[in-house]
Amino acid sequence: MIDDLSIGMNDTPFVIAGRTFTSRLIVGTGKYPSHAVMAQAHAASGADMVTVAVRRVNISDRSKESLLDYIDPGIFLLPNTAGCSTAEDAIRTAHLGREAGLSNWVKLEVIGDERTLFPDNEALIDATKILVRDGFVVLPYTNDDLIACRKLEDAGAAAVMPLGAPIGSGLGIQNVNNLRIIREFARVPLIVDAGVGTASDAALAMELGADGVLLNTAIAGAQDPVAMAEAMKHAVIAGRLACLSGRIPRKMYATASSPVEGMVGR
Amino acid sequence: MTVRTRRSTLNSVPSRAAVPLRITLNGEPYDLDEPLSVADLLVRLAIDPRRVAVEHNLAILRRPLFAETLVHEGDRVEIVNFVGGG
Repeated sequence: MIDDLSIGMNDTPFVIAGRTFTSRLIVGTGKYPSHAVMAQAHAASGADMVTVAVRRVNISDRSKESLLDYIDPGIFLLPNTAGCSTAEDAIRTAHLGREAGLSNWVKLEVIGDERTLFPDNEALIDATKILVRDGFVVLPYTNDDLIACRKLEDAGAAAVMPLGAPIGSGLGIQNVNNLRIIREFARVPLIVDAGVGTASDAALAMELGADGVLLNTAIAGAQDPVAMAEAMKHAVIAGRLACLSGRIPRKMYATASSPVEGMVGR
Repeated sequence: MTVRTRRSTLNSVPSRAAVPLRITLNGEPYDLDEPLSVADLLVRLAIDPRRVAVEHNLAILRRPLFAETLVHEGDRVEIVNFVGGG
């Protein structure tokens, strides 16, 4: 099986803030057709960390099933601050997430623009500083800006998570060179978060040297989320292996793969 | 995050039998017959306390304090849980 291939390589473990993950794929829990499909997709993806959102309990309708009933207890929960547009709101939400969950980890989002969902860098960096001071392991969703990533690292972020394209756009990796540059300088794990549309996008992110990929809509919104989840699992493994393998240089012209000597009729 | 502050008793309604008190629960007005502990409020709402976080007047309320913390007239209570997200 493909799983065995990844073990055969001389790869280093995927470690964030001292915690080791078996999968370099992190997936979401939003927008699935049903909780049951989500659970199957999670299993197919092989992910051992999933993101969750923090929202008010529905007081008037208590009939809804709890999301947590459909998440394997072996999967690590990463609460997010999705939808927050100020550092204050994000910090408040992070604290609520820590209280609701069992860990001090947070995927920090501070959104600066509703249409693009691009991050507000200044507020993101401020919120990172405060949450790190409050004892959080902060994984900030950021834009693909080297300077922002550096400032996040300096603020104590446990990883940097630049986008590959706008959240939920499925456009694929639109910023190959910026991600390469961030890869070159990042001292903490680099996770490409957002923009992935299909398996090859996830593979490309990994080939560029990302330590992991975080995605939600590409699986949850696929016609067959479970099959796409499995595709993403293979893509992340394939991309990682390719990254470690040292690809051939690109050349303008052909180079024959078969011997030119000994051909019949020459 | 923030320090819990004791609500002043000066602006509380004079106690009368069965005077309903109104709190703001998840942003909406919500009536109670009498001051209630957060733990009892969760029971009344059929909410499993292990799966939620509670904010009482803008301060996070740790789970061990649910039973001893009373909700009074005018209090703001937020009860959140995890939902699907990316």
